[in-house]
Amino acid sequence: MLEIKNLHATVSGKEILKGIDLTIRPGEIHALMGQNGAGKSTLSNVLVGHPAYTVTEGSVTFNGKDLLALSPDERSHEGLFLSFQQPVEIPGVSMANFMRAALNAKRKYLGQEPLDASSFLKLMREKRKVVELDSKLANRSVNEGFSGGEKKRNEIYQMAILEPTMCILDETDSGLDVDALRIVAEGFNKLRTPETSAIVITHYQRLLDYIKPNFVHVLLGGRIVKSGGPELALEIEQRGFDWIKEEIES
Amino acid sequence: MKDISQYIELFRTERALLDSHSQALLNAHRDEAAEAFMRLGFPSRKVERYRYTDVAEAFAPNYGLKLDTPPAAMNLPEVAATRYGTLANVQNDAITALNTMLVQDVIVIYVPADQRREHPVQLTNTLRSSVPLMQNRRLLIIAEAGAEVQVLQTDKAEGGQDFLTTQVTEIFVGEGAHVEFYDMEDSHSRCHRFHQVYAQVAAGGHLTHTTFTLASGLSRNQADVRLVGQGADALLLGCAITDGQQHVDNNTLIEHIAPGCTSRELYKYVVDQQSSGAFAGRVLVRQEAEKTDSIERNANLVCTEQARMWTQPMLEIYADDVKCSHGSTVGQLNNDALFYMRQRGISEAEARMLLKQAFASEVLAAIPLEALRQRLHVLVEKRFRNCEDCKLCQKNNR
Amino acid sequence: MSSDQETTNAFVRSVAERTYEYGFTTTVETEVIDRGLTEDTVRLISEKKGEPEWLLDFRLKAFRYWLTLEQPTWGHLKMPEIDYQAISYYADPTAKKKQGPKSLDEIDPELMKTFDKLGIPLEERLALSGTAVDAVMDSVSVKTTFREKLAEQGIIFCSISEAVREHPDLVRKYLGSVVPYRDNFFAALNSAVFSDGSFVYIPKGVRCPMELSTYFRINAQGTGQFERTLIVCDEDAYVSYLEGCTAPMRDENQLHAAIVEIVVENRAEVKYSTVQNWYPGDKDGKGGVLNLVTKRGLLRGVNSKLSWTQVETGSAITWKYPSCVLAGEGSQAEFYSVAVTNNFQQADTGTKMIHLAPRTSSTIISKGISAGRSQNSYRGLVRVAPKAEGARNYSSCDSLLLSSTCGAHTFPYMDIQNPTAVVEHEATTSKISEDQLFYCQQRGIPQEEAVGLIVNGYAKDVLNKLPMEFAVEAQKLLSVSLEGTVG
Repeated sequence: MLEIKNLHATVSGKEILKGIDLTIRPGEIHALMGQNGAGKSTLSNVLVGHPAYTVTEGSVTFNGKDLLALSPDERSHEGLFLSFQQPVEIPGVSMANFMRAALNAKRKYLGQEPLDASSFLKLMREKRKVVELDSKLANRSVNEGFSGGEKKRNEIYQMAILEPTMCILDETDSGLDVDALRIVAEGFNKLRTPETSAIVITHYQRLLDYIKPNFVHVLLGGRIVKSGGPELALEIEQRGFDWIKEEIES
Repeated sequence: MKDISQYIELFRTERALLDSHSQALLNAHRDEAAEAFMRLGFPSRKVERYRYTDVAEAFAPNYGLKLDTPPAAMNLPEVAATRYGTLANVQNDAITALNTMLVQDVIVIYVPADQRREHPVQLTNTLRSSVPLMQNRRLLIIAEAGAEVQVLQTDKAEGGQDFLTTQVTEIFVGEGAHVEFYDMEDSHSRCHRFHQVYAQVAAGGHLTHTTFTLASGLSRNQADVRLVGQGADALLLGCAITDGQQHVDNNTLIEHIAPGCTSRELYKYVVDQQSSGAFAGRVLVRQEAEKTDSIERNANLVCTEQARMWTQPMLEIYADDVKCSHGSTVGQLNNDALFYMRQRGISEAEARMLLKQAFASEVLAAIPLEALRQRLHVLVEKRFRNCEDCKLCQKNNR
Repeated sequence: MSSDQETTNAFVRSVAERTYEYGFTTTVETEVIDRGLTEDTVRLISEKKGEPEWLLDFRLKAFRYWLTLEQPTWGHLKMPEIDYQAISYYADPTAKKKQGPKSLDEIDPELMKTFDKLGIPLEERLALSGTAVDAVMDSVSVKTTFREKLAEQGIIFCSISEAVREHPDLVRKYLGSVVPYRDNFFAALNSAVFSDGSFVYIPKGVRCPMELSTYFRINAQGTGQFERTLIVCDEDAYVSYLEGCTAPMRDENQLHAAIVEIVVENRAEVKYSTVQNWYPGDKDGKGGVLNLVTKRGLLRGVNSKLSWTQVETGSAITWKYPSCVLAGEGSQAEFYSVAVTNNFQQADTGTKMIHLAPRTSSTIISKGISAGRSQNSYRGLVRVAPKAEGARNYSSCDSLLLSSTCGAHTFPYMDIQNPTAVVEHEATTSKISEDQLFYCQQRGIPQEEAVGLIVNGYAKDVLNKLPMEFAVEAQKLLSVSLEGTVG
C-alpha cells in the first residue's frame, strides 16, 4: 500500500534523506531504528507533507496514488496518520472542535454526510476508553497543559477517531513511563485491524515488546542500511549500532 | 477645526424641539456643551488621543436626526442629576461635548446600596431607518456601595442605511460595588460609532468593561477609568475582528489615583483584508497611587499586506512602589499548530479559521458572564465564517 | 511620610549635593560672534569657515525653512523657553591661530590641559590604546589624532570643516541625505548654523583598526553647540565610533542641537556608542544643557548592520531618538540605551526603527532609571512597511524607580503593515527590589553601594555593548549619578 522509491529530501538546503526504498503492505508493522540525526523523523515528516521539507528526488505512492502530489490534509484523509514526537499545544482550540473539524473534513472527502453533534460526542466518549483518557479532556484546548504522557495518549486517541490505515508512530515511547507506555501501545493494538499498517520509529526494544514488528530497518546517514526481522531489534538493544556501521564500512 | 457648522446650526434651529422631547436634566447641560464643542471643534489627528481616526470625516456626511421621539421616561431618579455629566467632562472632548449638546434620552440604571441584581440588564439598540440617521445616546450606571449589577448592551442595525451613533456612558462604582458592563457591537459596515465610556471606581469596588467590535464600518471606543478608592480594581477586555474597509480604534486610559488598586487590560485584534485597527492604552499612575498593580496586554494578527495595525501601550508613572507592565505583539498564526491540524485532515482555510478563533477566545475566556461567553463564541465563529445562514448559526441563533 | 521615604530623601539630597566632576571652565582666548540669529549670522559662520557656495545655500535654505517652524511640544518635557536670539552661534577657542591649529605646538596649552583634565589626551603617545580622537570645543575641532595612520588605509577621519575643504564631493553627496534639513525644528536649526563635528569615511572592505572617537566640550558662555557628524561606511567595511560630552557648570541653560547622520552600505557595520554627560544642572534644576539631538542611520545596503548604544546620564533635558531606517534587505539594527535622570533632569529618549525592506530585524533594549524629582520617558516607534516581508522586532523597555517623586514613562508606537512581520514589545516598571537590597545588606554591602551594584546589574545588558574603556567609564558614571539614591 505504501511504496517509497529512491526518496531524497532536504531541509533548509541540507540533504537528510539520500535514497530511501521501502515497501509496506497492508497489515505490516515496520520498525525504523537508528541514531539521532539518521533521518527517521525527516522521513515521517516528508511522508505527511511538512512544508519545511523538500523532496528532491524519488517517489512515494500510497494506495496507488502519488502521495507527494497531495496536500497534508488530503494525505490525512487518505488514511495517513502521524503520531508526533512533540505534539504542539494549540491554546484556545478545544479538543472537541478540533476533532469534529478533522473528522467531518475526512467524511466530506469520502463523500459522507458530516456527523451531527450528538453522534460525534458519543464517538468521542467511546474512543476515550481506548486510551483511558480523562473525560475532562474534551473541554480542554488541544494538548494545552497536557503532561508528556497525556499528549501521547491524546495522539492515539485521535488515531482512534480518525481510523487511519497507515500510522507513523514517531518515538511515541519517548518520555513515557512503563504504565503510560503500556496504555498507549495497547491502545494502538486495540485499534489495529488486519489491514492497518504502521511505521514505528523508536530507539528502544520496549515499545516493540508491545507492538510487534514484522520488519526492522536501520536508518543511517539518510539510507536504510540494514533490514531484518524482529530479532534485529533485539540485537541492536544488546549491541547498539556501532557493529552495523563497521559491517557497512568493511 | 473641520466643519462643525452643520451640528451647530442644527442645535440652534432645533433647540426647542430637542428640549421639548427630552428630560430637563439633559436640557440643562446643552449650553455648556455647545460652547465647548464650538471651542474644541472636531479633533484633528494631531490630537494624541485621536491620531488614529479621522473624526471630521466621519461626521462630515449629512445624517438625519429624529428629534421628536419622546424619551422612555420623563422622570429620572433624583440621583441622576447629581451624577450626570460629572465624569463625562465636555470641556476636554469634542465627541462628548457633541453628544451632550444633542442627546435626546438617557437611560439610567440605578442600583441602591447592597442590592444585587440576579439577572443582567440587557439593552438592545437596533438601528432601522429609510434615510441616513444619526443617534446620540446616553447611559448612566450607578451602583451604590456594595451593589452588584451586570449590564449588557448590544448594537444591531437592520437594512443597509448609513448610521452614525455617538454614545456617552458614565459608570459610578460605589465602595465595594461590582459592575460589569459589556458593549457588544454586531451591526454592519455602514454603521459608524463613537462610544465614550467614563467610569469611576471607589474603594474596594470592581469594574469589568468589555468591548466587542465585530461588524461596524468604523468604531471608536474610548474608555477612561479612574480608580479613586483604595483597593479598587478594573478589568478591561476588548476584541475586534475586522475585514473589508473596517476601522476599529480602541483608546483607553486607566488612571490609578488611590493606593493599592489593580488593573488588568487585554485587547486582541484580528485585522484582515484592507481593514485597520488601532489600540492605544495608557496607564497613568499618580504619585499617591503606591502599590499599584497593573498589567496591560495587546496582541494582534495582521492578515494581509493591505491591513494595518497601530498599537501604542503607554505607561506613565509618578509613584515609586508599583508593579506595572505592558506588552504588545503583532504576529502570525503558529505554523506548527497549522501543520498539526492539517495532518489531522483539517484544510488550511479551516485550520486558519480555527486558530483565529482560538486567538480571540482568550478574551472570551476572561469574560465573567458565562451565558454571554457562550453567545460570543458563536458570534465570533459566525463572524470569522462570514456566513449568515449556515446550519450552525441558525441553530445557535435561535 | 514613612521612614523609608525619609531615608530616600536624605539620599537624594546627598546625591544632589555632589559636584559635577567636569564643571570647570577653561580660560582661553575665544572668539565669540555676537548673539542673535539672522541670515547674516548664517552667512558669517559660513564665511568664517571659508565654505563653498553650495554649503552656504544649504544653510540658507535650512534657515529660511526654520523660520517657518515652531518649536515642537510633543515631548513629555517641561522645556524652559529658549530665546534663540540670546545665543551666540559661533565660538572659536582656537581663533588666535589664524588657520586653526595644524600641529600640537600650535594648540593653546590651555586647551591641551582642558582635554587632559577630561581624560582625553590629544598627544597620540598618551592616547588610550586603539582610540583616535577628534576633540571639539565649542564650535571648532581642536585636534584630530591618528589621522595620518588611518589615512594609510584610506580611512578619512577629520573635522567636518576640513572634510568640506578636502573631500567636498563626499560631504556634498551625503550631507543631509539621512537627516534632511526639513526633518524637524532642531534639524533645520542645526543645518543652518552647524559649526563643527566629525566626518568619517571607511572605504570598501576596510575594517577600521581603531575606535574612532569624538569628544565634545562646551566651554564658552552664552553659546550653543551645533555639531554635525557624518559617518559613511562603505561596502563590507566596519567601524566602531564613540562619542563623549561634557560642559562646565553654568547657571543658564546651554543649548546643544546636534545632528548625526550615518550611512551603512552593503554588508557594512557601524557601532555608535555615546556616553553623554553634559552638565545636568544643579540640585534645584538651575542650569544644565538642553540636549536636543537628531541621530539617524540609513541602512542602505543589504545585510548591513547598525547598532546605537547610549548611556545618558547628563543634561537638564535630553530629547533624542537615535533611529534606524532599514532600507537594505536583511539589514539589522540595534538600539541599547541606559538613561539615568536625577534631581530635576528630564529625558524623553528612545528610537525609531523603520522597516522598509524584507527580512530586516531590529532589537530595542531600553533601561530607564529615575531618581529625585526627575522625569524619564522612553518613546519609540516601530514601523513595518508593506514591503518588509518577514520583518522582526523585539523591544524591551524597563524602568526602575528610585524615588516617589520621580516619573517613569513608556510611550511605544507600533505601526504594522505587513502580515508576515513579528513585532513584540514588553515593558515593565518597578521600584528597586527590596529583596535584592536586603540581600546585599545582609552580606555587609552598604546600602548606597548596593544600589549602585543593583543598578549596574540592571543596566548590564546595555553596558556590555560598549567598548571596554567606555564600559568602565559608564559604570563609574552610573554609580556616581545615583550614589545612595534608594527607594
